[in-house]
Amino acid sequence: MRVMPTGIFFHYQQGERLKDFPQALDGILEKENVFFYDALYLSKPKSCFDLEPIPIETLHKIHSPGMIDRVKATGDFEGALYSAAGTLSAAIKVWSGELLNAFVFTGYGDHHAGSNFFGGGCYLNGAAIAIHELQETFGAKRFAIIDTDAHHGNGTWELFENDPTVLYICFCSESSQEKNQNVNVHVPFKVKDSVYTALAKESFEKWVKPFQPEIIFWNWGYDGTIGEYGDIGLTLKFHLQMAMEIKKLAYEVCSGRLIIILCGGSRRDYANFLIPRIIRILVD
Amino acid sequence: MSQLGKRYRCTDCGTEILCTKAGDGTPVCCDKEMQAQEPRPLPSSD
Repeated sequence: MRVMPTGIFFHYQQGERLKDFPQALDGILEKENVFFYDALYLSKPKSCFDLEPIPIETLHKIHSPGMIDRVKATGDFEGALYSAAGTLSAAIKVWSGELLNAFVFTGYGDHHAGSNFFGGGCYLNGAAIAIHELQETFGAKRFAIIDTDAHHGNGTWELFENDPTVLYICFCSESSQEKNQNVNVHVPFKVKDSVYTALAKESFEKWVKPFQPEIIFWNWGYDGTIGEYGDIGLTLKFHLQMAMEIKKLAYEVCSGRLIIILCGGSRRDYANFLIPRIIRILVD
Repeated sequence: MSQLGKRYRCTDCGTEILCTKAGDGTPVCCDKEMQAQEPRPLPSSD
């Protein structure tokens, strides 16, 4: 039986946290069901494994032209573009059945980028761009974004607060609230792994399973880990357990279609520990 | 030594390969060592 592949979307970055990648994917890239997509080789001819930038007209479907100009003025536009491009490309390949699931390495995150604002290390909302493309081009109808970054995803919230086709569940310290299919689940400032996991499982039962999304995006940040800048008391093991839960959920509701988008977190040692293990959970 | 995750190209026939398991050797094609391709890194938020 053919094993459906996992895609890894990667671009080389100047920063500290991903310095050991892709070398840290030892034992993973050699697997038959892993496809590696990368970008920005200086002299290599183009191939189907190249990560392509997103056309500006596609960006304008989510972000205002004025905002795109402001992002360009920061000097970080290209990094943001290739970060979002990984999510868009992963979504298209997962939706079309080329891949079962995917892990997207990003240099800039998604969830603080709204229709006309950005901040907190986020410039373009890759998940929103991907969802729009799947709606318009492929006719996809229901989507879920699960956000376990430590901070509230104000950009994603704003983009989908009037869109009932997208279930956005954000786990963070802000008060619990819901509007259309936008749900904020309050997580205590200091929380045990078991409490957070129970909250997540309860939310999956209450929101995700009845909604029956056709594809799940997971905004995964490890900034809530002990010793990180958004420390809420989580251990490294928590993230692995959450990966297993969300993979299981994806199998239950949408035939395993899952895209993991790397969000917050800055420590290189944590990245080296967590990312290969989480990719292995997708692959195995 | 080959580098995991790096792409290599044959300058004669244009064959491109991805190194999925690093080893002591260097990949060879058309009787010549293949050239490692150098990616351009981008800035990031960390």
